[in-house]
Amino acid sequence: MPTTPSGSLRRAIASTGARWSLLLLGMMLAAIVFGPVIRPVDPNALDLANAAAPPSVAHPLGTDESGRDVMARLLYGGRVSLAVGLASVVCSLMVGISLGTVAGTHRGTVDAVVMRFTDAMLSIPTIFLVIAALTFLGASTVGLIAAIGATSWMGLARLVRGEMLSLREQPFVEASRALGAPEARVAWRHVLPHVVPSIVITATLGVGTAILTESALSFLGLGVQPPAASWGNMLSGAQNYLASTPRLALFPGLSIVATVVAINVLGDAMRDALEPSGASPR
Amino acid sequence: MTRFLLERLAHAITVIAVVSLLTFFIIHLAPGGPSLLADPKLSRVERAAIERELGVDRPLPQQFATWVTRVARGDLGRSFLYQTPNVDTILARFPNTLLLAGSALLLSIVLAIPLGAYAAAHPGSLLDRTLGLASFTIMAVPAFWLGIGAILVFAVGTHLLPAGGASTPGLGWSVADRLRHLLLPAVVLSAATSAELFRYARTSAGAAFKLPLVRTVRAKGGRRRTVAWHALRNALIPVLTVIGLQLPRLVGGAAITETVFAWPGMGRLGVEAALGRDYPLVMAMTLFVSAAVVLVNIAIDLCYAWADPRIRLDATGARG
Repeated sequence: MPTTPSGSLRRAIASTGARWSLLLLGMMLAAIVFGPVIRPVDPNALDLANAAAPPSVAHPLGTDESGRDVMARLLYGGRVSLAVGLASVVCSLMVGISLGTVAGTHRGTVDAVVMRFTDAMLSIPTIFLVIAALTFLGASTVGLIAAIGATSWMGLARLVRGEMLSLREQPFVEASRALGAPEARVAWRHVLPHVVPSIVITATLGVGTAILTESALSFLGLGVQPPAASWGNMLSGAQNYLASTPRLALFPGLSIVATVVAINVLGDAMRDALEPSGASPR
Repeated sequence: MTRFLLERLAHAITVIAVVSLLTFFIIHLAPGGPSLLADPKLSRVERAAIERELGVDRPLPQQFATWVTRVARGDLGRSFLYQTPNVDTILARFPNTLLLAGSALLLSIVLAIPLGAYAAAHPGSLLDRTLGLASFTIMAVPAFWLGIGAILVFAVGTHLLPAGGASTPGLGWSVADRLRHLLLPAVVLSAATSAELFRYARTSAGAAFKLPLVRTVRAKGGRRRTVAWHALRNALIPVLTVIGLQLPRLVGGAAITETVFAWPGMGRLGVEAALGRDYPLVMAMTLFVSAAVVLVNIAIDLCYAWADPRIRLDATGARG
């Protein structure tokens, strides 16, 4: 066990890339949270007479094909995209941690059943599963979150199970078991805390993946449904106006790329800090 | 070695069985049952016909038994949309996806592993840092966006390459024409996989260069090539795992890429089937793809056994 979990997370934040990423994500978050203050304009207000207008004082980032204010949509869309990303990761954390814990603590049949289920889910292309799930759940934002969450927990389940299996042989875990602590308590109080850093990393990277999944689904018409804005559906809505107004695709595209790069750099820095042996020399 | 193979095969069969169980229950647990999954505008008679075909009036275990027997006989049901046996529909599209995903995977391996090894051997160099940044950026770009961008630049802007399809209609079959059509979608599809594979190869090779075994070879005055060979063989093991894990994602990515480039493959078929609520086809495809993925993973396990003799020994019980 390399130092304490919080110690390695603190070490991760010491790297330059991670600091820039945190700064960027912090600014994004602030912009999104204070969106209505920064840009007090209805993001869904149509103004067809003023469609696809270039940036001006009235519309700092111009208007889209229906004359809606791009800046307002970008700020509101960011809320939706990040909310979908975070919420679906919470879903996948719940499923992944529970199944991983169950498999890691109950060996034998339960473990085999859970892990074969995980393997089966892993062998199916996620996009098919998500589309299938969405047609049941309906293409609502909640359905979207549930569908992405329900199809992205497998890595976590494997990770948690693996850590459980190796940790349960450690003397301190055996000691608490010998003292008569029930299996569930041992798992929750003594084993799981040691898995937290790995979970945090997987969850961080998961938010980026979920944002990309939402944009891919938007491209297929299954993402966040218009008129509500998300970065994904703004980007996919812009594809018909690429030749005339490429700007419409540029802003949501850059927002997605910047956010996901920042998330991945942060996640990577955390992993390097957690596993100094496997880390690349910097 | 035989036992190792048999164990992997047993595992593969279990996984395929679980996938078929999953797909079966997804059809039958859908709200309103499988008959409603077809077009809701269907008449009562048509719906009854579908119900009869799916046998939903019978008890679930019996239905499952029927489904399994059918699947075992290679009958994956009939598509709602195409009204053709799913096996035929899938097999007609499969070669195109195999070509696209195979080229993309090959491209990724050829690009990412040597670059990853080079970057690991020269940590902190300009190329290492550039590739690191590039891989992060590529991984963050939505795939459909990359595809549309590529079409804009290479097809609409410069007319260098065709914008979509797998061949020029009416031209007849020609290798050059097929390759021209393959290039853009294959590069776009391989982008994310290459970036991810590069990162793993970089980390994995970096760790391998520090292995005692590799250090020993170097200390004994082994030539650069010998050192690199020993490091590479050890670095390949995690990279192989990643390739195995990337496969379903590659087919999933192919769904988007094929849609962008109007490539007549399985991924696009799956998307169309799912959007058109053609459940029998979606489930048949899921089963088909996961079976293919599981089989390829067995091949990857065999590669492991080649790259790491300890795995062979473990499985035959000679050790641990």
